[in-house]
Amino acid sequence: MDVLSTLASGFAVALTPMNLGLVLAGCFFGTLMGALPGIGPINGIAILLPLAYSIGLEPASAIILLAGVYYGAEYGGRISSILLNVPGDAGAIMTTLDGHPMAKRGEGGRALALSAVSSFAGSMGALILLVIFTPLLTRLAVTFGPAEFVALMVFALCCLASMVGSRPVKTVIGALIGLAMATVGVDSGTGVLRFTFGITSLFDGIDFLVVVIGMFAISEILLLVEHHYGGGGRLEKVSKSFVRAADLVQVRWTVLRSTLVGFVIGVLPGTGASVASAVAYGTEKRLAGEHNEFGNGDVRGLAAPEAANNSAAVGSMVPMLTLGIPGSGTTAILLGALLLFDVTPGPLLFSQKPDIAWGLIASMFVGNIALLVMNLPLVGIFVRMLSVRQAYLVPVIVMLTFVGIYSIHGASFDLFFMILLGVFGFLLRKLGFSLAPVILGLVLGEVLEDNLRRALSISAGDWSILFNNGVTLTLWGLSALVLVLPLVMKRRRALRRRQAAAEA
Amino acid sequence: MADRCFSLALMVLAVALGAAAWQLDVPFQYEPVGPKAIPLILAVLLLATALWLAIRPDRLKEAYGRGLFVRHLVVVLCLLAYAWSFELLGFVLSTWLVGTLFARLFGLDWGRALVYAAALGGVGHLVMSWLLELNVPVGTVFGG
Repeated sequence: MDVLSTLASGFAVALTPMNLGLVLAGCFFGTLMGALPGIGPINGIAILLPLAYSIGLEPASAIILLAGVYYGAEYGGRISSILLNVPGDAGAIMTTLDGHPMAKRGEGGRALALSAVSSFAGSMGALILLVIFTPLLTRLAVTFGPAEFVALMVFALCCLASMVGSRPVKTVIGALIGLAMATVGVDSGTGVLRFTFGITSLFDGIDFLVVVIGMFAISEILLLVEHHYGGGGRLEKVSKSFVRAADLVQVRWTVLRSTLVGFVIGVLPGTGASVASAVAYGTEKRLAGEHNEFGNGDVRGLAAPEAANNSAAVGSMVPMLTLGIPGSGTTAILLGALLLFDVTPGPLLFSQKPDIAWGLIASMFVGNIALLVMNLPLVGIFVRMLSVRQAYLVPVIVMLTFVGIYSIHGASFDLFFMILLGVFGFLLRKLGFSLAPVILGLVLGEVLEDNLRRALSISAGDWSILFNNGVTLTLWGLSALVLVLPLVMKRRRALRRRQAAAEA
Repeated sequence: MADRCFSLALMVLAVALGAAAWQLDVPFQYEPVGPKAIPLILAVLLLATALWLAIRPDRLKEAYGRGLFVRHLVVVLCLLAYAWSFELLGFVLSTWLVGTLFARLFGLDWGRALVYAAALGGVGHLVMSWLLELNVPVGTVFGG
């Protein structure tokens, strides 16, 4: 088996003492970040990224660390969902619905244990699917030329527009802002300077790290100051956490279905853990029939979103690694991180830098086992962390962001620019814009432009090269479908409601 | 209302982007597209979507009062003070000062905030500078 031998070589990378330590550190830090309300995986990765870059980690090690934070946070998010009724991150919103009622009944320990096992099962199932599907997708993607990549990126942005945020038009605007940011700096094709306003620090383009930290971490602080709670939120008493065999038997099919749902949704570009957990929860609720306790502490309602959001976190790695198209805001940052380390994700990654690709995949197996251990016997540590006051937390976050950004170039300009972007990001969030499309636009912008120009160079300026074969046409068609379908569905639903109202 | 203001600003931005892109002049180029095309396409799309948002804005549910504005302003001023003092006063001193302000802002009393921020500056310096060997400013006032 070809796949197994490459996976074995990946384990050789992941199990070096250095990388093993980083996996554990990333998972621990990620669980913590996920558990603390208000600081999700994106912020965790954003804060660690410049530090990892400045310390000079190897690309494989850095991405192993950052990915650990990502899937670790999907585990951590459930802790505050269950105990505080406050989702630690967006993927854990559905977990509050049945997790918190269980904790109120005094079954906090049971809920934590069961959700940890569901998370683990979801991740492992998705990892196995990833190992199976990644080589297939890579083989397909190798045949892609510049024109196909342009169509693929447009498809990714369209998926994003139709599925993320309150309104598609706001998502599109966000993506356009990100794409426009990507054009700043020296133009790779001709060497002309674009939109730099004579500021030398911008000649290189707008630094990805500054945007990420500013827009996510700094704007998060501005949001936290609005409704900070002084260690408030009543912690439900946690009973001893243990796994009940009866619970596991009861949820086995739920977990399996939710894992599949989560993986598929995770792979689709533009959607992430939060959509996956919502869909999985809805599906299970419908399948449960009339006799269920969904919303009042049903174990299936707890297991479904947890299996799905972890599965989606793994699934969203698939398009990021094989196509270089991130599936969510968080993987957009991971993609940006890889580019920062001079590694270009995409079909050639697996053949040219197998140690990074397979090392990362192998590290996810290791990390998930570590997370299961951390989240069963050691869950008490994280529970205690929940009562840490924000007054102690915020200064640390501020300090880490400043040190991280300053240590990249050693320039104060970056700090001021970061604050400016933070205020801008805060405004966007206040106005109901999602920040993921901005980051996705920023990351994809340069690649999109490069591919478009390369495609048109091949065709000597003839734009029809973008529509001249089956693959591109299919992708354009899918893009249009993804944009139109939600509108049609909405209209049909409205029509049916009006009919029902007329009959009643 | 907020959406309208924002989309107006976006439209101005889009026009500025388009105008700036139009003026980009390349002495010679080897490819058919050049650096103008993408920014121009983006400017047109941005103008169109911003116009759409101006025509059909969202109604914001949250009220944004003066108290909230003052809190946000204080945060931004603290951040600016941190950025300004970071090189000048050095990491330890500026972290102490601004850390105190942030701890105070999030509800710690002055005494504890001072002690906590001092510890943060000290421990932070040890970890960042010695352990991780990062580029942490000593402070120009100390000749760093």
